[in-house]
Order: sequence, then C-alpha cells, then structure tokens
Amino acid sequence: MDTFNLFWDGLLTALHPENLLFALIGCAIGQAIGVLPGIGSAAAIALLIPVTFTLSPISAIIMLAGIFYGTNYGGTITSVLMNTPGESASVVTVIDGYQMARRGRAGAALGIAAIGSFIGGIAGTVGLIVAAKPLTDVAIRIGPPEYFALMVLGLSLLTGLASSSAIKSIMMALVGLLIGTVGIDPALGIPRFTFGNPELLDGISFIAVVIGLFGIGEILQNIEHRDQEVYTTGFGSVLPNREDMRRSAGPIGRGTLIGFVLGIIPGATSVIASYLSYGVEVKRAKDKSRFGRGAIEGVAGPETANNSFVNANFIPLLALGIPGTASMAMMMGGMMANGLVPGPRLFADHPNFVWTLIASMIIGNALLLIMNLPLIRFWVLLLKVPYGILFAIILEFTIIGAYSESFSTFNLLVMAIAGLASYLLKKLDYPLAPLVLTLILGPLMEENLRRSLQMSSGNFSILVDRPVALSGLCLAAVVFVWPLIRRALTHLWKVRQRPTVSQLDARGNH
Amino acid sequence: MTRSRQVAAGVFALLGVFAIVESRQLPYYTSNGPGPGFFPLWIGIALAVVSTIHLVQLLVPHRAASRRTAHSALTRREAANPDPSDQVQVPGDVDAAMTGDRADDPSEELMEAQPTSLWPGRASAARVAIVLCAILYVALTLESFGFTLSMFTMLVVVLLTLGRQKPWVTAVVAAVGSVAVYLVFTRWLQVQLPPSPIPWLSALGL
Repeated sequence: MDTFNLFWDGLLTALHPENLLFALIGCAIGQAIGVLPGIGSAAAIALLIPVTFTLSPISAIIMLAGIFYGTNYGGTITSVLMNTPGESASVVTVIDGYQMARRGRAGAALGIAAIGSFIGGIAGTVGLIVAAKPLTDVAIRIGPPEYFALMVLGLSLLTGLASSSAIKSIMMALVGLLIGTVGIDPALGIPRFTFGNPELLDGISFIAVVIGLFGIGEILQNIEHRDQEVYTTGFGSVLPNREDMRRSAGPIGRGTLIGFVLGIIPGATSVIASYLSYGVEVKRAKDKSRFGRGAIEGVAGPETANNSFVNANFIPLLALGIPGTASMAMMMGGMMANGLVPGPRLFADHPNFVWTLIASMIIGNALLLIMNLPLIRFWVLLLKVPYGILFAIILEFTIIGAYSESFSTFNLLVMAIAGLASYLLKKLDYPLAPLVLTLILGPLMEENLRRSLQMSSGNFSILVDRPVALSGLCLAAVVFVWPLIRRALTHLWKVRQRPTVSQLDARGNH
Repeated sequence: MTRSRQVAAGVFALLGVFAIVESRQLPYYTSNGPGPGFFPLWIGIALAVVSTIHLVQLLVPHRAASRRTAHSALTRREAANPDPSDQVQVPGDVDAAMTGDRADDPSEELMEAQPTSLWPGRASAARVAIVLCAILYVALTLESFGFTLSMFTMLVVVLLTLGRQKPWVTAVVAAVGSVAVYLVFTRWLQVQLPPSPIPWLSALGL
C-alpha cells in the first residue's frame, strides 16, 4: 500500500492550483501544436524549456508533459477534417477519419478519438504506477556500469529497430555523440573541439540544436513549396452514438494493449503503434470493405494505441533513464535542465516529483478529454490561420526559444545551422531521432563509462563482470548485428532463387 | 540523387577522420581513467568506418532490382509527403517515412521510373535562404537594436516576401508579434529579452 500513499500524495500535489494551471497550459499548448501544421511536439518542448526555468521543476515538467501527450489529441483534428495528419502519429487516422468527415460524421470521429485517447492514456499511466515499485527495487542495484550498458542498449534499439536503414541511423547516432563531446571535458577540464571559441566552452546547446532540427527544419521544408491548401468540412454532432461506442469498444481495448507494449520498448514510434492497431482491426473485421470508407474502428483503434503508446513511453524514461523516442529525449533534456535526472534513482530520491507527475498525467488526460469533446469547435478555429502568417510566428518563437536558453545570439547561429542540416538530411533520408537521442545521452554515457572505469581502476572487464551490465551489452550487440544477419540471410536466399526467363523484362534485366 | 548521397556519406567519413585527428591531440588516458581524447577518438573511428562502408555500398552498382521494389519506392515517397488533396493517402511504409529512410538500397534508385528531383529549384532555394538569413539577421541585430525593433523588421520582411501577406496584415501581425510578445515574455514569463536602446521606445517600456 506504499504505492497508494505515494500516489495519493502525488495527486494532492498535482491538484495544487499552480500545478493544475500549468497542466492546463501544457495541454492547451500541446493541443494547439498538434492542430497547427508546421510545428511538432519535439520543437515545442525544446522551445519552452528555457521558459520553464522560472517555474518550479515540478510545474515545469507537468507543463512539458502536457504538451507532449496533448499533441496527440490535436493531431487528430487535422487528420479528420483536412485529410492531412497534424502529427506524424495521426497519419493512420486520416484513412477512415477523413471519410467519416466527408459523410458528415466528423464530430463522431473526433469524439471517439478523444474517448479512445483518454482510455489509452489512463492505461499507460496505470502501467507506470504498477511498474514503479518493482523498478525502484531494481534501481538500487544499478551503478555506472549498468547505466552505461542500458544506454548502449537503448541506443541500439533505436538504431536497430526503428528503421531498416540501420547504417544511416548509426551514422546519425555517432554524429550526435560527437557533437556532445564539444566543450569542456569532464575528466581534466580541458576544452575539446572548441577551436578557441569561448561560446563553445559549455558545449553546443542541445535546445538550440533540437529547435533547429525540428522547428526550423520543418519551416524550411514547408516554405519550399509555395501554397499550403487549407480547408475544412462540415461537422456532425459531437458525441458518438451508441452504435459507434459498441463498435469501438474492441478496437479501443486492443489499441490500448498494442500501444502500451510498444511504448515500453525504446525505439518504436507512435506511428508503428497506430499502424499496427489499424492492421489488427482490418484483419479482425468481418466486413473488410468498410475500412477506408469511414469505419469508426479505423479511428478508435489507432488513436487509442497512439495515446497509450505516448503515455507508456514515460516508463522507460522515468524508471530506467532511457528515452525511447526523440520527444522523450526532449523530456529528458527538460528534466535535466531543471535539475532532475531521470532514471532508477529518480523514484528513490525524488518520490514526490515522480508521483506528482504521474498524477498530473491522469489529470492532463482528463483535461484534454474536456477540451476535445465540448470545446472542440474552438480548436477548429485555429485552423483558419493561414500558414503565411503562422510560419512567421513559429519562426519568431523558435528564435526566442533558442536565444533565451543562455541569452546568446550564438545559439541562433547554431539553430540556423541545425535547421539547414535538418533540411538537407531529410532530403537525403537520414533519420533525425538517433541524432537527438545521442546528443542527450552522449555526455551521460561518457560520464558513466568514465566512472565505471574509475571504479575498476581502468579495467574494462567491469562491464562484463556484472550480470546486468553484461546482459545489456550482449542484447545491444545482438540488436546491432541483427539487421546485418537478416540482410545476409535474405541475400543468400535471393541468390538461391535463380532468375527464371519470365522474370526478365525486354531489356534482359531482372 | 545517388551522387548526393555519396557526397553525404563522404562528408560524414571526413567528419570522422577530422574527429580522429583532433582527438589525437588530446590526452588519451590518464591515471584516473579515460582522458578527453578517448571517447571522441573511438567515435571518430566508428564514424569514419561506418560512413566508408555506406559510401562503398552506394558506389558499387547493384543489379537493378525488380519493378516491385521501384513501385514500393514510389508509394513510400507518396506516403512520406502527404499533400492535402481529395485522395485518401495510402500509408505505404509509414514508419519508414517517419524514421527517414526510403530508398536505402542503391538498386532501387537505378530503377526509379521518374527520378523526382532532390534539390529545389531556384525560387524554392531562395525562400529557404530567406528564412536562414532572417535568423542570422536577428542574431546580429538582436542585442544592438533590441528585441522589439529587430523582430519587427524581421517579421515585416518575412511576412511580405515569404508569407505574401497584404501590407496591413503584415503591419498588424508584425506589431503584435514584436510588441505584445516582448511584453508578455519580459513582464509575465520573466524572460529577459534585450530592450531597445532607442530612447523613445524604452520610454514606452520596450
């Protein structure tokens, strides 16, 4: 019952007016970010981290977390009304959601998405509560070698599982690690890679880099093309009717499970969760032809999976200190910037913080449900702002965000370079998530490796002597090597299948 | 497109080499454990090696893959750029789009039916350049002109050229964007943005 007491205290703290206010602000901002094209949650969180310095750490993180899961609620609106996903995760909702809107049932689609998201979100949070105690017990036994191994594992999962181009992910991860080494070296205090520039002594600001990569990069991509078509379609009643609820119950349940399981594993993305849920619903449906033409299951399942995923994502972050996605890495950055290091020790050292955060997640999801059911027309109004004005405002906020982190105009230069780099990298199909992850994890990894070696007086075997560390590293090695093995096997299999004449086209190629 | 990818891989390889060279100048190991040169050296080596492998992958011409691979490459491209049209978007390789890899296998690139041009035309490149210059402009003038003035001028230029807004809309948005935002951030959020050095503006509290 220890957990219950902790949770109860957390709930009371979360209900303080100040924390409640920031939960509301965070959710509102998140919802708005989700609705508006041209800015995503990673950039928004990065932008607002400097603003949170003036707040108490717990209010700050409550707000950032609200932004994080709020964007999922908002992204549904553009998917359903405009056939355009507002957030990458809402891509799947477009399929049936837009079709429902065309039949005048936009309200029901949005309503069921909100309800499903709420249930998914609560499930994710409950999972976190349940997992907390056992993980805290494990936490005590985690030392620098285990930390290092866990980080390597988290990194390997992100580069290995998240994309089939493992080699590009690895390259991006390495670049991120390299950028992280700039600054004063923690061992001897010597400047590294600063080339005599005093601005670089503190290292390259990850906030400026992330705002540049995601915020400016997005603007550059959008501004390339001239016109941004925006239009809305009509509404129906807001609430789904009984038939809708009956049909959606199953998808919501399955979606919750899918999202939750994928959310705990670092390296998955919310898109995978929603896509998987959609696939499951189609498979299970007796009348498959309904899908793609406005089947409510196609909205209920993915939206639930997506929100359950997002809330479950907090579990590896808070309990183990491993961010599973780029947005989580931003949350981690935000916490660290406010003096809180996520990881097993967090539960032990700052129980009140953790439990308040968990309680606020439940409150936040409830607030978002209210914002999305009766108040939804207000958000739809936001869509009327033309992108020609919107991008300028976003640009302004990115500048404020990057500048105010340390009041340096040098950060603006960093941001611009990062933006250009992001634009180029996206064109060349390099994934950005590994870069962001290592930018934040890199210095921590180096620190833990250093401390491990100090503990063992320079002997690397400390990493393999301790069982947890060893298993972590072995698992990481397997994940890294797996794509190569799979490729070699596929290649061998292809070679076996000698091409037949029918497979050759007129030019004699395969 | 392959050429650009090869160049990119080459650049990364050079970055790795650069890291190796620079970190050799730092102490590698100290009595206390790894020194400053340790981590960057190994990162540099790894980067150089992996980038070179990737470069080699891109340079070695594969046998053209089947049409099916080319078709899926095109579907993925469509899924990666959802455009607001009346057609429902089919999520081909949606997760691939999000994690940023499409035609990874060089053979697919050779078989593309229509190579969509990777690089933007002149007008688009100019728009991109304007955004970047706007940021640099603010970087240079923020502390000398003060936030209000610097941001106001930037917004006006950007809204007129890129946003293609009418002058009165531009004026209103730029004014609100500079003055109101300044006041909100400095008074309410306690973020110290640079004030204007111009006397009559600072008399107004800007």
